[in-house]
Amino acid sequence: MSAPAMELTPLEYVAASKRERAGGNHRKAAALMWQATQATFVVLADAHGVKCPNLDYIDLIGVARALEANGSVTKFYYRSGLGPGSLLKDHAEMDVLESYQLELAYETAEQFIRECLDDQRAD
Amino acid sequence: MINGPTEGQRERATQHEARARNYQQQANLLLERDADTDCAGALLYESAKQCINAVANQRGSNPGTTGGKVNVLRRIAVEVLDSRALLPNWSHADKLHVHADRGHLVGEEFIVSWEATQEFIAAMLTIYSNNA
Repeated sequence: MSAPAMELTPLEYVAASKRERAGGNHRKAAALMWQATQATFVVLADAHGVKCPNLDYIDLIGVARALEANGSVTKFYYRSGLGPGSLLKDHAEMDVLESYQLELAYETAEQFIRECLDDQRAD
Repeated sequence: MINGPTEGQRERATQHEARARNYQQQANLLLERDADTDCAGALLYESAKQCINAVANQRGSNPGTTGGKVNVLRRIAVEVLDSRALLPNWSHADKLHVHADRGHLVGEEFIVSWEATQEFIAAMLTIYSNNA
C-alpha cells in the first residue's frame, strides 16, 4: 500500500511553517512543521518500499522501525528524528512549549528533514 | 570551552553526574515495579537535565534555567563528534516531561520517548566520562 498523498512537499511545509512563525502564529507553525515531518516520512516510505497506510505518530514510529531495519542508518535514527516533529505536534494541539523549547524543536526538526532529503538525493 | 572549570564547578559536576545516575536508576525501578509511566518519565527527564548540568559544569558553564541548559546542549552538539542524535533525543525527553503533566503518552509512543531519553543520558554520560 502506498503512502497517503500530502498537499505540499516537505520543504514547502517547512517554508510555510517559517512564514507562520514570522507572523507569531506558533501553534499553526508547529502544526506545519509536524506536517513537514509527515511528508518526509511519505517520501522515505515511497523510496524504500515501506508500507505507510496512514500518518499518525504511532504509524510513523512503525515506518521508522522498518526504515531502520535495512541497516543503512544508526539503530535509532528515524525514531529519534521523529521527536522534534512530534513535540511540535503536541504544541499545536495543547500549546505546551516555552519559546526556547519551540526554537530548538523547529531547528532540530528542520535539520532532520533536510538530512533525510539530502540522503535520499544521494542514494 | 573558553575557560576551564573552577574547583566549585568540578565538585558540582560530580554531584550532578551522581544525581543523573541515581534518578535514572530510580526511574527504571519505578517503571519496572509500578509501571507508572508518568512518574518514571518525569524522573528520567530530570536525569537528562542533570546530565546537561554535569557536562556544563565540567566545561566551565553554569546553565541555570532550563533555557540555559538548552543553550549549553546546542554547543555540546556542535562541538562533540558523533553527537547529532543529542538534540532530537532531547526533544523526546521534553516529550516525557510534557506528557508527565498531561498523562497521555502511552504504549509505543511512551516506549520510543523513553528509549530515546535513555540514549540521550547514555551519550551525555559518555561525554562526561571522556572529559573526566
